[in-house]
Amino acid sequence: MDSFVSLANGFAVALTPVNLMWGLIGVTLGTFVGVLPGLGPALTIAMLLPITFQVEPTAAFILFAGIYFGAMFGGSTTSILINTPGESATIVTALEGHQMAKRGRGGPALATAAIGSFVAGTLGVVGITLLAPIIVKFALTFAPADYFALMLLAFVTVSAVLGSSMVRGLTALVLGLLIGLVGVDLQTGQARFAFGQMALLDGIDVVIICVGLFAVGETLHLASRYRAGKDEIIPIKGSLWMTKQDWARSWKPWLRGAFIGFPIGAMPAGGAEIPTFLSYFTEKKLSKHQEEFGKGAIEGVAGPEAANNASAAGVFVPLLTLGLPTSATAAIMLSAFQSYGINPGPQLLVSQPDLVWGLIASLYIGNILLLVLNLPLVGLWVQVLKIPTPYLYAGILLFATIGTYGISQSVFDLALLYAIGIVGFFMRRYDFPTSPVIIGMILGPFAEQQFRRAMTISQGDLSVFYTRPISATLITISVLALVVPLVLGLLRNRKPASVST
Amino acid sequence: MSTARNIELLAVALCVIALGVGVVYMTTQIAVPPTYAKVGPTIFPYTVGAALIGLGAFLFRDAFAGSWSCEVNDEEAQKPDLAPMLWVIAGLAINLVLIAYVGFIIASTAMFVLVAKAFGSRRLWLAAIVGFVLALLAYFGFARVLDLRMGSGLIEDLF
Repeated sequence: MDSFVSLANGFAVALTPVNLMWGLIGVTLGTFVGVLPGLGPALTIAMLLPITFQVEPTAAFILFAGIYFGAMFGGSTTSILINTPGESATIVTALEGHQMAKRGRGGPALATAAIGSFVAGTLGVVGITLLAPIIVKFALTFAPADYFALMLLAFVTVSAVLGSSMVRGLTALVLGLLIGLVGVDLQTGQARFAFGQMALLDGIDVVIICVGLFAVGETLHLASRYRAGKDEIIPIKGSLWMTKQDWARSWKPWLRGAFIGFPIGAMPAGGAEIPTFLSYFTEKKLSKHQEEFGKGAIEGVAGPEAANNASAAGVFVPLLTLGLPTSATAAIMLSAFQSYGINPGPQLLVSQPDLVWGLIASLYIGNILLLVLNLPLVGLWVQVLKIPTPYLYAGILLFATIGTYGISQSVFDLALLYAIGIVGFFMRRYDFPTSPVIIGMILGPFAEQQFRRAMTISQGDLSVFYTRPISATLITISVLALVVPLVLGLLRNRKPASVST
Repeated sequence: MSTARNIELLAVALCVIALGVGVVYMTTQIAVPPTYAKVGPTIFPYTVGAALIGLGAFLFRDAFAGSWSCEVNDEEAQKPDLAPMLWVIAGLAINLVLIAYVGFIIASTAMFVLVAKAFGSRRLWLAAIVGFVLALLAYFGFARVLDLRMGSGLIEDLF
């Protein structure tokens, strides 16, 4: 029960007026960008990274956590009211939620999403509190080889297993790894891929890559197609509150969603897509109102939203205990830790208890703030969608510019930002995922460090990776995750051929 | 119809392979101190280069077999609208050219107007005002709150 005492301390940290204010700012800002189509938490946190020069770590992470959860709330609002899911995790919410809105039940859809997120967030925080110390205990026995194997597994799962194409996911990941290699090698002092440019010796800032891909690339993408069609905002009619029947139909999906979402989020694979889809199909199967699915079944909003939020809370388990980010947002947070000179990992819970438990407590407080503030204010948030498109995207590019040029005042960085934006546009066009780029560039240097450390300890003997049980197991899983789908694909291709001959 | 479009995807695959070859070549140029011969700074770069070549080959196969589905070969997706994109790129370019000379505020206002034009704004004078105010706010938000030196410029030096 030690961890609950620590959590209580965390609440004491998070509930100081200053930190509460940061949480409030984060939640508001997060909801704002979440509501806007095309903007997300990873981009917002990346643009706010310079704040780490000014503000103490606890406050900064409370702000970031607020943005993270606020953006999710905002994202579900957008997908319910205008059916443009900003990210893959809210696709499912749009399925039923938008239908509900069309039938004049937008209010209850938003309410069940918000309350479900709150319930799932609560369970998620309890989950982190219980799970984190156990994983830390386990992780303290990890040798560099095991860490490397763990990162390998994360690489494979975030890029190859999730997403539409394994090859394109891996290509995006390797591109990220390559970006992570640029600059001076810390062990030998050798410059790598710097092209003799002073500006590249320190490596490429993650802000440039993140803002380039997510802001500049997205703006170019939208510019290429905005004339094609206009999304319609469905006004919220009738009561915002859920009826007795809505409650009765929602509470079980919330709980089930949370129990599906948290474990999947906490695994080193991460990703919110799988839990939301799993929850949706579970609810569809268990519902007594199956005929309503596809026409606005409240269970289909309640479950996936809870799953989404719980998995988002789960992502903090590998991030805080292992230093392993499994989403683009988590990767940006890892680089925020770096800019404070903090190395997330099993030591963090002991060396920075205020930071960790304050952060976990603020996740919870963020959920309460969202529930209390945003649900009644949803009408206000909908107004955000009425910002004229030209000003919105011109404004995004303006902030993207200040977010990078403001730090370095380097025209070179600005050119790099815009170039990455154009790459981002083409990645979108050819359906390459972008999150693996961010994860690869942040986690790549850590993986290399652990690999070389392991090889130095073993004096260049590769067998460390398959003689240690933990590392061997993790590497086996990674290889299987790559090979099994390939083999299945081959079998599937062969079958129709053999039938036809 | 789709043959012409497949060429685009084949070209993408070839670019990935070329990038991989470039990475491998550049890695051979990295001098390795003899003490690090076994686990030196070149192992990861070589791996990355090799992976790009391999993945590029797989991409080539996907493009060739037509199993690479994206908006390029999606019959329903319309072609990218070039004119707005060019306005956006013009906005980015003007910002790059001007920023070192006139400062962030004016350069970014110019970019703002061009990007607003790209997204169909008609009253460009209004866009200029909005952009200017936004740039001013962003500048002071960043410069003052975060205490960052934001560089100088025509407007910036007035304060």
